Amino acid sequence: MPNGFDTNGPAAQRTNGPAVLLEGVTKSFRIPKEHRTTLKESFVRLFRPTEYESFEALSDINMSVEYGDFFGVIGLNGSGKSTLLRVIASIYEPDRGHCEVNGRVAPFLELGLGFNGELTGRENVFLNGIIMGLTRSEVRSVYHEIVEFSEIGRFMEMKVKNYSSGMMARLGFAVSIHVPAEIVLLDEVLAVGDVEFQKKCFDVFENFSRQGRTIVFVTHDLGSVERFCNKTALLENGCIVARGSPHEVIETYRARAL
Amino acid sequence: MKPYARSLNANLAILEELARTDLKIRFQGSFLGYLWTLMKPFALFAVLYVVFTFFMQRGGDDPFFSLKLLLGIILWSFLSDCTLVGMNAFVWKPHLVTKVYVPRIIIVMSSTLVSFVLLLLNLVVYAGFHLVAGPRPPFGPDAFLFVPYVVLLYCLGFGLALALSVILVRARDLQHIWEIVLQMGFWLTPIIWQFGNLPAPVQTRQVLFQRLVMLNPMARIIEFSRYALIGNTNPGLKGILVLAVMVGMVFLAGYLIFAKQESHIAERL
Repeated sequence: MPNGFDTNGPAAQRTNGPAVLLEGVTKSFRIPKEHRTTLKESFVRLFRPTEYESFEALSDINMSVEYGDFFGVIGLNGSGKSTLLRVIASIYEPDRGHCEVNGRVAPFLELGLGFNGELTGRENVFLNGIIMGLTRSEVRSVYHEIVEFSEIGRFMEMKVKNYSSGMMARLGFAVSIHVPAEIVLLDEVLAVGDVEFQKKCFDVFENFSRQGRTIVFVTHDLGSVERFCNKTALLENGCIVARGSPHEVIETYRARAL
Repeated sequence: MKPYARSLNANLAILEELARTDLKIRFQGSFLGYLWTLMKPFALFAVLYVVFTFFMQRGGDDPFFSLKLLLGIILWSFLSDCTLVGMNAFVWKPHLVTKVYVPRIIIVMSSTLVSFVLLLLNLVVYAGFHLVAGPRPPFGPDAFLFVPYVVLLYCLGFGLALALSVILVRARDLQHIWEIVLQMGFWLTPIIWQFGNLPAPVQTRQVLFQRLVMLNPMARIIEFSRYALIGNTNPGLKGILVLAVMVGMVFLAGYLIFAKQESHIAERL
């Protein structure tokens, strides 16, 4: 894979511990019980506080991802996979427990990065590259590789709000894999791409494995989990119910889901 | 180790890039670009000046009434712009919160910095008016005090924006409430009316009235700035210290509210 950086990361940046360590991580969200839709409704109940129900998206998660792991996370919709990734990316703060991440993180969460619709593709590459820790001149030096990888060079001067979801995913993924992060978080990269783009993703994954980069990979594509991951965890209602080799975990998943 | 614990340099680079893109988005697609933001305070100035000096003859015998009015409007416009833009930092740019991790304070700060840059540009234009219509010599030794006043003004705006930004995420009504507060504040601050040209009934209770008005840090900043640039005088160390303490308290309160709510922004957007 073309890459301007030593993506293995300088050894000095690695500590002896795991790349990602979660201990007793619990995250819950509040969901309102009654839905106030009309003005009258909210007026009548103005002085009565809305009642909330607590929904535990993650409960007491303990897991560790070692350097070089290609860690797959599978589970049904709503089982907490995306929340887990967001906790690792420090977008959500856990209510209890703690999450330790040793290294720089490149997140690719649900169709893209911190793309600003009002900016062009090119401007967004620079903005997100800098957010993920590159300097302006470093972005400039990998810019062409990013564009080449995304294959949407013609649209780089177009505002991102006019991009299709496929274009957005391509560009986002291209940026995520070109920043010098030790840990890459991937949520549903394969979901919107076409066959050719999926093939490209697989090539990247193969490279990642060879380079020993640390990946946390959320997907519904069990075939790619089996092919690329060396460890897998199965989430169910916010708990890890199975972990181990991809093959066994996928068997468990199939058995439990049906 | 906190994930994404980054060097100060990296954070400054992010701050700069976010401010730069904000500035770009603000002016893109308009032919006159930055001239429009210049237009707002100056149009307001023109209309208020005409109404108050010709229709209502409120300018009185103060030869610098118009300069004081212009300076007041420029400083107030900053507070208004800075708090409105800073307040909406998360609501307008949710992608910076939910898709990547940027220290949240940087997102608010970059928005307010754009307002600050516009303030500086407006002050350059003010300087032109000042040189033409201002006192002779244009600046005395007290003029340098304007620098700390502007710094305090920024801290006030930033502190308010911090608190407002996290509250707005929970209660969107705040947008309207804050606009009303700003509108009332504009008339309760000595911007158009000035202590020199109050009607007689108020003047008999001048001291009490002035004390009340000066509880508003914005009134202090605007009055003191006029002293420094136009009157070439200063309110004394005590007056400045009181202002600094007021601004410090607002900033601290704003920061504490922000720090308490910061970790829940992503799930509330």
